[in-house]
Amino acid sequence: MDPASQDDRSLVDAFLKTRSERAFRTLYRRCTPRLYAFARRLAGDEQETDELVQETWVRAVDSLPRFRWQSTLRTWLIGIAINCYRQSTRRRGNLQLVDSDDPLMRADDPVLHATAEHVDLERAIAKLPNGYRQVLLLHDVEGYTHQEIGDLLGIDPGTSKSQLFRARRAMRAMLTEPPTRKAGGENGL
Amino acid sequence: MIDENENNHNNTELTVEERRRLDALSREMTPPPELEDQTIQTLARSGLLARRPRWWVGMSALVASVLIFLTGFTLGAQTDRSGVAPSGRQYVLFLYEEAGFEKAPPDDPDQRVREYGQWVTEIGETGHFAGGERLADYGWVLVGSDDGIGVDQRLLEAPEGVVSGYFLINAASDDDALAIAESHPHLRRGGRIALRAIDPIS
Repeated sequence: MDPASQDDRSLVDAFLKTRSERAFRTLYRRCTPRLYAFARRLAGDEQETDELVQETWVRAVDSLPRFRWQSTLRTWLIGIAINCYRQSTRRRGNLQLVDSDDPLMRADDPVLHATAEHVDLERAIAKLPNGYRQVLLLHDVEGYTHQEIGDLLGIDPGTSKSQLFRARRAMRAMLTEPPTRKAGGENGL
Repeated sequence: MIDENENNHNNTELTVEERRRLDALSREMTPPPELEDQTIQTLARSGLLARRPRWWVGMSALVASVLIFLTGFTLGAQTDRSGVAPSGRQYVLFLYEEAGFEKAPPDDPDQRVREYGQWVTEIGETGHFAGGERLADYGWVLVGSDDGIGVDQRLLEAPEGVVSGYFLINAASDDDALAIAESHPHLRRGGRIALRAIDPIS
């Protein structure tokens, strides 16, 4: 087992032994930055991301005693996040992401503070349909294989490949399209 | 002739530039600081976390022992009004957390517990402590009207702030109660305290 996984396992074992708040905070602080980045790109909206991360942790803590370490902890958490996200989109009638120009986004939002290039890419990813976005995030951002993506999403590796192709094409189209002008001129009148 | 744009769009592989831009995306993001506490509270409500003793009881077993002794001593000295010193009355302190309230730092999450526990110890030594509870971070506002009863779950958005807990104290007079309330560390962290005398129906 690689050192990172051994560290994860030690933290999980320590938490399961006591279920203390302190042990959970240690586990949370180790895993959440990575989880949050994935959830943020998956959900798009800040409030949804917070809810998604919370729900992920609740399910994870509930299931931790049964986790068999057949994958890394990170992969397992991502799988839970995906399931939580899918259930929430079903509850909401599969609504698309909030427009990333949403004025309710925080002033210190990490997406907004990236370079313009990164923002364009983040926005393009955010505008992808749910299925495309999940595959593209898992493959091109998180580095999972199609076999692993198939296991995470419950699809064939072949389906993952074709979804990825479509996702890349859609993302490419958005990155190369010219910016749209507001109707009526500069003041929108 | 192959249209270059069409060829690029149909290419299943990432271009070097696309790969570069994707690799430049950060794989980690700092979550909002409050998300950690919110997650812990959710876990605790779900019974998935072994919570520590109530924060005003204090951090150590020694502090808890002292408080148990002092509380028993105080109750043993009561007259016909439960928990009230013979010459005084009971008051309640409602602790409010507004937008500017300074929560415990992430690297020292027990800081408030220690502070409030120390305050309890100090007022307990003089017979003033009578009890208290922390309140969960969710709740409802119920409003009755001619149209019926409205139930609003936006408790945490109340403009006057959120009541995060309360204390019961024994005091000889209003001035005594005010002095005790003024000494609470909640006020040094930007919190607000509403002090009310209890007016027993009996």
